[in-house]
Amino acid sequence: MTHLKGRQRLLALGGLFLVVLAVFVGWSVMSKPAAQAQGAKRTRIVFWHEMTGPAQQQLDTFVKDFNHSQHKYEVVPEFEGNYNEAVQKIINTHGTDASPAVFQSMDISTSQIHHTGYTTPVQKFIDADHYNVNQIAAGARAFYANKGTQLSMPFNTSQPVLYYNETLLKKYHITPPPVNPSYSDITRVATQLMDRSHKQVQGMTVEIYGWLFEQFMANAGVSLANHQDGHAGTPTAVNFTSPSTLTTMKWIQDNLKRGDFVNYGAGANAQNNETASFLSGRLGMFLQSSASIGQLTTGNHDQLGITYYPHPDGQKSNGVAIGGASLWISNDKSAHVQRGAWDFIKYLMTAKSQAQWQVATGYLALNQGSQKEAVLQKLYQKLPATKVPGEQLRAATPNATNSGIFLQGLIQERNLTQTAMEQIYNGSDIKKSLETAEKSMNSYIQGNNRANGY
Amino acid sequence: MIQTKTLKPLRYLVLILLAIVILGPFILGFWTSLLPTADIAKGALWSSHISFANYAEAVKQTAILRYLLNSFVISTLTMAAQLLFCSLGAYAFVFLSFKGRDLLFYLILATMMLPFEAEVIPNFATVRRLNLLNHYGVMVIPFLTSAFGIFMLRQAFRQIPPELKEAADVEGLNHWQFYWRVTLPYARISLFTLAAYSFLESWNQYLWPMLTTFSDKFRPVQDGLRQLQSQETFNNWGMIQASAVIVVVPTLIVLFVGQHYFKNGLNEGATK
Repeated sequence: MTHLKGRQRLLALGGLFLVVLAVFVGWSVMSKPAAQAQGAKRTRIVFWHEMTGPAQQQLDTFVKDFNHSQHKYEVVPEFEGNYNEAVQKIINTHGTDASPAVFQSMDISTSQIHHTGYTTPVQKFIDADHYNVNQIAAGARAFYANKGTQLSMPFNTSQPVLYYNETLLKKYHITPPPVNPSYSDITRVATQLMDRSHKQVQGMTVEIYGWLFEQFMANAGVSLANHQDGHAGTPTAVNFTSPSTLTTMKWIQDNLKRGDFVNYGAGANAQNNETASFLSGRLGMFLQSSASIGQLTTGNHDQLGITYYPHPDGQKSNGVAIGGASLWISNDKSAHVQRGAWDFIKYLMTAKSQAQWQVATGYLALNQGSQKEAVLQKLYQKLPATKVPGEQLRAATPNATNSGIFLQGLIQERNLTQTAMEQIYNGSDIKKSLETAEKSMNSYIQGNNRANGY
Repeated sequence: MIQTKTLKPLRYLVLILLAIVILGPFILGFWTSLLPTADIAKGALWSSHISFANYAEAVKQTAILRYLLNSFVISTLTMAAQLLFCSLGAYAFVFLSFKGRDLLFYLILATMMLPFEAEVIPNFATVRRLNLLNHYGVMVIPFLTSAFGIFMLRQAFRQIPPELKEAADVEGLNHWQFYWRVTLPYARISLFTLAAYSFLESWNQYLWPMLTTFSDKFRPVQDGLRQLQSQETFNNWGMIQASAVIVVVPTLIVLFVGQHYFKNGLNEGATK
């Protein structure tokens, strides 16, 4: 018994020793850059972002290169977790030592961040520098602008697109969908896949995701919120029941009933499951962000096809809004620090940086000059399909319905439309479900507007 | 006698089944940490590329070792502080008699009824004003003592025979000497239990550090782990799983060392 105890103790001690060792290795590895930073007298520019994986690596490289390229500023990147958490952190730390000088915040937080009054619109620096904003994609700029003022700089920008498994379609002798497909084009491919594979392959899925719901409306040219989706003034009501929205939902519901569409549910699990099914050749098509390209091409032996977001039959596609996030400059820091933040943003937006960004991450290069950069040309040659999301972005002329929704309660809106989608997918009455969601959203907006005194 | 003999295999069968149910996810987790991410994404359980590459990647690409260090520092400080302050508090409630002693004790107990999550907003506002955000202090200072620790040690100290205190008084030991030389050694097992408990409690914190840390320099493991999941894009599942395994190891060590005391200690107050 005592012998055993001794061995146990030895094991435990050994384990503990290993942990302590690991910890000290970690300390020495991590504290090196900090020591270097203290050497030079540079202004610290704290940069909060929400990028992980390849995007984080690329961003860190950009920061390093920027810090080497000049001697005035030292950008310090700090990772803040997911978009929703980051918004709260940004708002709640404003004015403290911990707050960032420049930060990345998601698309749908635009109105919220702007209304806090905690930021300096980048327009101020654009004017001061006579910076040529026309080199940045107009569709992306429009999303983060309000009444002619550029509030923040679009950064990581994705487009919702339709992915299909080209190898699979070839196997069953199915003509791929056109590059700008209508609903019936998609129905055709989905039905053929289902029939010719004898139900081995599921045709298509549309995730229960408010973002996709918004994009269907954008692509049909319908406003979700009044006052031109909030671009002309604070919205007072939403419209979830326009004819095209009803058509879209009916299209999905009918196909689900017939069995050539499949429902993977909502949330991160749905995304993981549909990706897994797609990669293993059990799902033919699905709608997702263009930022998924990386995951869909690494280690995938099947050829990947990409088309524009589908649009209703009998009309031209209006174009979809971008997804992703933009860069903001906080106004609780000194003018010098804000200047440094702007210089860093400019560095990220150069044609060269943007081309590199698209190659590394799958987010779109926003600088028009990037298309001529060698790294991007090489990517297009290797995977021609990766051209499609950028073409979709440039094909659309920005207008009030495809430049995002300038509304404060978008997270609430997504929850409500997702509930409605869930009901519809399970066979409930389309109009009734959407009306319920619309009613709740309208009372939410009224309450919010009253509370803020709009 | 015969009955127990026939029952024995049956009992082991049930235990084995339970062990499979409980260990299954751990084994699966460990196994997937060895697979390449491309295979995990496809839902494959078997791959020809079993390797420790994910671990190498986790250590190289993420700040997981730094997270471990942070958690280690925070947990150790919290544990040491709780041992000191809880034992001092408990000592006062057992060996000192003063007016309103019981009332004060019940007041402290009452704070146990209020979950920490309910106090998050005022606590956040306080540390924000103190300018403690994004610092080790923010994760240690609010947890310097705990009502549970005081309660547990009070129960343990009450088991010390009153004769010992009387004898100590006769010997002329003052309170500090009695506390240090008699009380603490006597309640050693309870102290070990509290140490393991407070260490793990601090190690497993998630909500508070998420709200109050903003850089890898101070972020503890649980939050670090959560942050490895990507935004919108590619999730490197193999690497995330490898990091999860790395994070679990210290917890297992503490449990391994402490389980002997855990069994005795946690029941101590309950049966008395």
